[in-house]
Amino acid sequence: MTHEDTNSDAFASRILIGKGDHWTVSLLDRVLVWAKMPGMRQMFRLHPYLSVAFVLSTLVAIGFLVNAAIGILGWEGNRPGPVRPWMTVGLVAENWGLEPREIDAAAGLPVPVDGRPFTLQEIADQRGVPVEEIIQLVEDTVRQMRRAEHHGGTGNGAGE
Amino acid sequence: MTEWLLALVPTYGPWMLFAATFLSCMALPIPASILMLAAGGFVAAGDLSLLSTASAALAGAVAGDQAGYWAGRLGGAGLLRGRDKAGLLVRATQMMAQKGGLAVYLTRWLFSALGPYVNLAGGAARMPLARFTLWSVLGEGTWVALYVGLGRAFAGNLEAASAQAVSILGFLGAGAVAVGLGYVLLRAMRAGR
Repeated sequence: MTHEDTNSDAFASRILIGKGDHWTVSLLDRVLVWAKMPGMRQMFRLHPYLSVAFVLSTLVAIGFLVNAAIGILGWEGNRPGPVRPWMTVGLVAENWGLEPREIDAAAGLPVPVDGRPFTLQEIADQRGVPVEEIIQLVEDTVRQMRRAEHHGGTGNGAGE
Repeated sequence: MTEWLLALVPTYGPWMLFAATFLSCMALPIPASILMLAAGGFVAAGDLSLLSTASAALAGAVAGDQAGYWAGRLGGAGLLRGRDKAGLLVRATQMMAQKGGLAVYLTRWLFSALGPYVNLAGGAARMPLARFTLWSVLGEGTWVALYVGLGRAFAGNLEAASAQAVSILGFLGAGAVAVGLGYVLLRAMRAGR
């Protein structure tokens, strides 16, 4: 903060607040009087540019925070993302909350060798088919397993 | 290009991340943040180990920072000689040497596009190596923890994890500006009394 900045801020306050104020400035002034916030009122009078920048940056920060909170809260209900060629069956299973080796078994896909999993692209290359075919196979299998799990859960619940 | 690199993550995991973070700290256009998000997903799936993934990404980034720092330190003085008639670069590098810690920390993850240049400036300014390394490790640790952590939490859903990263970085960036302006305002108000 230099003297020039402070002076220009004070100069702005003399221009902005006084007779013939812009209606937004008058309104803000009245709101702060009504809200019994003399400190804030004085702050806006003395340093209008800095104060506006401070309020705006605070609002932007709050906006991002709300967005982040919505992202976290909305996540559980919107878990699975799209299946991509670079994914492994393990990652797809994690996305959908299923067991990866059960997907392998149901779709007839190769299991990891020495702990090293295959990507869907590698499986497609090994079989000499387009990767879209493997992605479709995995998506169909996952949907079937989810449906079976859902029906199984409902059945068990009804039986209890 | 990104899809091709992503496909290498489950296969070459830690090595891949080491190379990606190292090269991105040298200002090469490698999508290291996206690769870390994906790696976090593979960690959640059990395809990669958290320890080796995070430590390899951190080691690559810190090594990249060191390479940039030493490039600036060994070549910086020669680059500046005779071209800084106004003395601005000299003053900038002096400031970097004295107060560069926070700049190094924040340009690792919050303003990461500036990171490689701050490395060069830090070396050219002969910022003490121990201080540079400390802030570099802390900053890169924040970067790796944020992205691998989000990738793990969002199980490799890159769209959701990226959106969350933007929200978190936006909050921290705008929040830092708000705190800074609040501090300046407070001082100005006190000085006015």
